Amino acid sequence: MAGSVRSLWSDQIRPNILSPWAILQVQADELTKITTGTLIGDVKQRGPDSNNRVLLSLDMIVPALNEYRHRVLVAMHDSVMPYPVMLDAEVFRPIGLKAIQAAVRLAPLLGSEEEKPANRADSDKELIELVEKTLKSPQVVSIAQSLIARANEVMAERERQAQSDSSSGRGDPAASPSTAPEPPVDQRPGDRTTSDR
Amino acid sequence: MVSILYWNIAGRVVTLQHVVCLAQAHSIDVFLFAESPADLDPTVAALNDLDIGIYREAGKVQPKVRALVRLESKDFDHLFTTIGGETAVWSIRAPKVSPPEVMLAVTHLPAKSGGSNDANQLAVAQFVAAELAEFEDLRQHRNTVFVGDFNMHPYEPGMTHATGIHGLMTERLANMPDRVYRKRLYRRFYNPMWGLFGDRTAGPPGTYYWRSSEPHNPHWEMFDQVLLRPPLIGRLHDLRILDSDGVHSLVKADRTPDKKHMSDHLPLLFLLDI
Repeated sequence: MAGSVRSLWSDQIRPNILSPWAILQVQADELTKITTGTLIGDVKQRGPDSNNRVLLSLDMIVPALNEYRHRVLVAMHDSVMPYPVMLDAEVFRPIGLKAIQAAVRLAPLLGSEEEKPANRADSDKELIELVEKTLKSPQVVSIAQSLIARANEVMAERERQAQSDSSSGRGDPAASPSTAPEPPVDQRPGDRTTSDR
Repeated sequence: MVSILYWNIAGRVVTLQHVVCLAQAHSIDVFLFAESPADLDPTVAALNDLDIGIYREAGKVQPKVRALVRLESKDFDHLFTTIGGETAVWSIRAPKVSPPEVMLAVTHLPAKSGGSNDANQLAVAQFVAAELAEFEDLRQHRNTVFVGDFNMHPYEPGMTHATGIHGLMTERLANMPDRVYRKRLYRRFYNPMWGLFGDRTAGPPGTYYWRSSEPHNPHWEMFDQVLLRPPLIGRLHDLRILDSDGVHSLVKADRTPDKKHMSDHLPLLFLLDI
């Protein structure tokens, strides 16, 4: 008789469960790979904090823009149990009327939830879905596109400058880009600058 | 000396008309605008017509609080932005301090309106404070100024709690070693805004006036604040809530913000000798 009873365990219980750290680290590496290093993905862990929570952050770093760092998401979980994990990202932050209805995005973290919040993952599969929703959100896509475009402009300017220096004999043709003079990164073409300092 | 003005514009274009006068009266190097109207180009153009420097909007992305500056890019650089642009950290070149950089962290935190309460605001403050400390560790110094519309009074839990912003009312308290709480260290800020409350100071009693019949109502709110880490306390040379742009009054006869002609917040001006 025993053989005729099917498994009653959740199909989410399986041997190859990924931790939140592992999931985010793969995405950080992927960002570096798909942008050929124009953007560097970086995962950092901090905590546990006074509430025994571990926080994992996924940032985009732009080497060409003086290592500018942009936070994409933060995942929070108990220091002992990696699941459930709460995700904070712009896509999950309610705005307008939804913000008023939700009162505050962190309410679920304070133990006052009555239904499962949209940003909570109870398993690695759910976390992967939430991370995918975040990384493909218009907010993240726009930021990544903007940063890549600006980085490309800066790198092209550096290249032009290096070629100009080289052809005029002023620069060292062998100089690496990191030793070339850096154009101001948030200065528009045609801007003049001044300083009273 | 670097002069910085923080102002919650309340989305009102009319507020920006005061910016030119402010720039002239106070020689502002850095304007920080919360709830800014989308188009700041006319303001930049008007500032540049003054011929007191070349202003531009700085930033590698557009954070919630936008920055118009006349410092050169090498002297004012965008370093970090948190989720949703809620907090941005800028680097200001600061030859008088060591290392020669001041981190200007700028934020606009959620308001109580809409159902948020002290506990929710403390939770947000804990995240913000932890992110800031993490970033300080990355830069390997604590030369940090934290300015913003925190939507809390200096005495509310999110601002004072050791795990929150941890802003303290005296230099002596702020200069003490990191606080140990539950075996973890929490760094401190000095919050000079405590000294600007009420009508026994030179400026307005607060930065925002709440007209409400609620029985618990301090009326004047000190939502807009500047805080400093201990290494920079001695570098704060002036701190004022402004009730005039130098030419026009920003307040009505009862000294509350003149909302018909500008924002419902008053601007905060401070000078750093860095």
